[in-house]
Parts: sequence; C-alpha cells; structure tokens
Amino acid sequence: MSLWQEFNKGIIKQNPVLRLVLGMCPTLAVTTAAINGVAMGCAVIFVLLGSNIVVSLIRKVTPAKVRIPVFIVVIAAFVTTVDMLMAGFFADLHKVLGIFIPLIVVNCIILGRAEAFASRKSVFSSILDALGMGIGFTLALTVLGSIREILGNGTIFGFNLLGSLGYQKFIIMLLPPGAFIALGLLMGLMNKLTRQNS
Amino acid sequence: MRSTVMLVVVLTLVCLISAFALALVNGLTEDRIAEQKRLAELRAVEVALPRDYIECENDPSQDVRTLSDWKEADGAPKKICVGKKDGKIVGVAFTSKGEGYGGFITIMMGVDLNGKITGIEILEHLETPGLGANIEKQSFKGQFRGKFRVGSPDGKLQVVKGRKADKNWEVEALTGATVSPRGIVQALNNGLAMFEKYKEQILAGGTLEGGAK
Repeated sequence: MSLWQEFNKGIIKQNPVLRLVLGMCPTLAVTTAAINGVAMGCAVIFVLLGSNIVVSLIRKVTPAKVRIPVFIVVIAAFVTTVDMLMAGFFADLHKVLGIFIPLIVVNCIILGRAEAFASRKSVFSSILDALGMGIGFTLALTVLGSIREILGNGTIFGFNLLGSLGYQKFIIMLLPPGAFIALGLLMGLMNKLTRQNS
Repeated sequence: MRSTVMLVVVLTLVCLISAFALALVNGLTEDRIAEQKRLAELRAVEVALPRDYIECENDPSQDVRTLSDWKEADGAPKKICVGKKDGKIVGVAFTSKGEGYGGFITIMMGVDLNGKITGIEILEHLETPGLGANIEKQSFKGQFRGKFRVGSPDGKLQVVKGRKADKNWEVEALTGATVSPRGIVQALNNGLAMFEKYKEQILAGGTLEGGAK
C-alpha cells in the first residue's frame, strides 16, 4: 500500500466511525454540537498519534502475551496528558468536553489502530495511519455534530442559522435517539456514495 | 522461563516510564490548573455579586472571609466573599453544590442581606452537552437575579416547567432538561439556608482570610 493510501484510507474507505463503526460512545455522546466534534476529534488525533508512535517503536520488544496491557498503559498515559494540558491551557474547552476526555482511554479506535496497525508497521506508516484515522474520526464527528446542531438547535458552530426563520427546534436530534437516527442515515448515505464509486 | 521474565520486565518498564512521564506533565500543569480554577472562581464572584448591582465600593472577589462555624464538607472553613457599602456588608458570594443529572453541580451564588439572589455562575458540572449543559447559557442563569424564597409554599425556590416563571420564587426549567435546573435550585436552597443560619456571623464580619480580624 502506498504511503498516500496509508493516510487516505482512514478518511473515507475505512472511516473509523462510518465504516469500521468504532468509538461509538464518544460519537453518540458528544455530537450535540459541531464544535464538540471538532474538539473531541483533535484530542483523539493527539492521543492516536502518540500511542501509534510509541506502540510502533516498542513493537519488537513487546511480548505478544502482554501487548494489550502495554497498549492500554501507553494510551492511558497519553489521555491523562491531554486531560491535564487541556485543564491547564484550554480551561474553557476542557469544561465543555469534561468527562469525554478521560473516556478516550476506552475508545476502540485507539486500541484498534495500536493492535491492527502500529504493532506491525513502521513508525512512519503508523504516523500516517494515525493522522488519517484521526482526521476521518474528526470529520465524521463534525458532520454528525453539525446535522444535530442545525436540526436540534437551529445553529451551527454556535451561530444562529434557522432561529430567525421561526424554526421549530427538533429537540429529539439533541437527545440520544437523535444521535442514532443521524448516524444511521449518515452511514446509509456513505454506503450509497461509495457503492456508486466502485 | 526466559519469556516469562520478559513479560514482567517489559510491562514493568512501560508502566514505570509512563508514570514518570505523567509525573512530569503533572509538574508542568499543576500550578496552571490551580491558577485556572482560582481565576474561574474570581470571575464567578464578579458575576454572582456584581459590583454595580449591589453598589459596593470594594472588590468582593478580593475580600474573602471565613467564619468559625461554617465549614466545607471536607472540614475546611467556608470562604465567603463580601461586598461592602459605607463600611457595612451588603452582599456575600459563596460556592454551593446541588445534585444534577450527571453528578454534582457547583455554583457560585451571590445573596444580598434580604436573602435575594444577586446572581449565579456555574463553576463545575457534568451535565449532558446540548441539554443540561445549557445551564451555562446566559438566558438561563441570568434569570436568577432578584429571586427570593419568601412566600413560596414550602419556603424554597422552585422549578416550573412549561410556563413562564411569574413568582419571585419560581425558576424556569430548560427545554428537555429538568433535572439540571433542579440541581441548581437545590444548590441555591442549600446555600440560602446556610446563609440564614450564619447571617449574624457574616454581618459580624468573620475573619479575613489570612487571619486578621
């Protein structure tokens, strides 16, 4: 696989949310607004990049039997780092994302990429993989967050979009069922689009 | 045997290095996090006890007192910020907690001497983004100014659903979220009860933070 494909695959072909259906907990929970999707995505990109690099670096000395505990410890260390850095330097953002930052530890995308990719490939490929997957995750969350924010609240990134038109807010889109409905339709759309391509 | 030893060695090393890295990051961010928290509280005092609203001449966020009897849950003395006019205390701000949907909600609340709320600010909460988290919106938290509990059937502030709040003890709920506003009202009611209980001591001035009378 070429390097470009290594990067590219996470965005559409193997999009972690819409294709691999990984990391559903934060996907469903934080996407009540577009900005939450962007912020969550950035945190995941950072953790994924860090864990992929370290896991790839130590892949030759990690015994297969303890690889999962090793991955988890590495991932947890990066997540805690993000949590502390955010609390110290981006206090407002940290307040918004709150509980979801510590939960990145159990995000399947991170462990999945460590297990399926970084533990077998070179550091450089792992970096490309982390960036591609991270961006794919961020895009999916941002699109989902935008749909839910527009329909549920009439705004996009906090700007009033439909409010002045007398828009009746579709509150269910902000509630958990709205997350499932929007995600399902988005996955269907994705399937349709990629099928036509191939 | 050799491979078993390797398992232990590798896992131990990974844990040690991770712990060391975290200690390093903690050392780098600890002071900043504490500073951010302090700044957030100072800003909250200005919102909860606005200087132009209670017409005080000092800066309440800089005038912190403690009382001998009023303690936090952990035993530390409760910090109270006071606003003064002509040398007399006209309003106080302090933190209070109530139970929300996702955990405790911590607020900074301001009260004048008649027990009227002068304002509130949300310090910490774990409410659902897009729903309960809307307690942070100005349209919600701005409604508390001037509320007081006198006249209420149970002597407390109350949350009303689906209609405008038209009494001085009524607070409007948020669309799709009732538990979070109730948590805030619970925090306010707790805080008001404590305020009444220690009012005499508060008026006496308490102890300036740092020890001086």
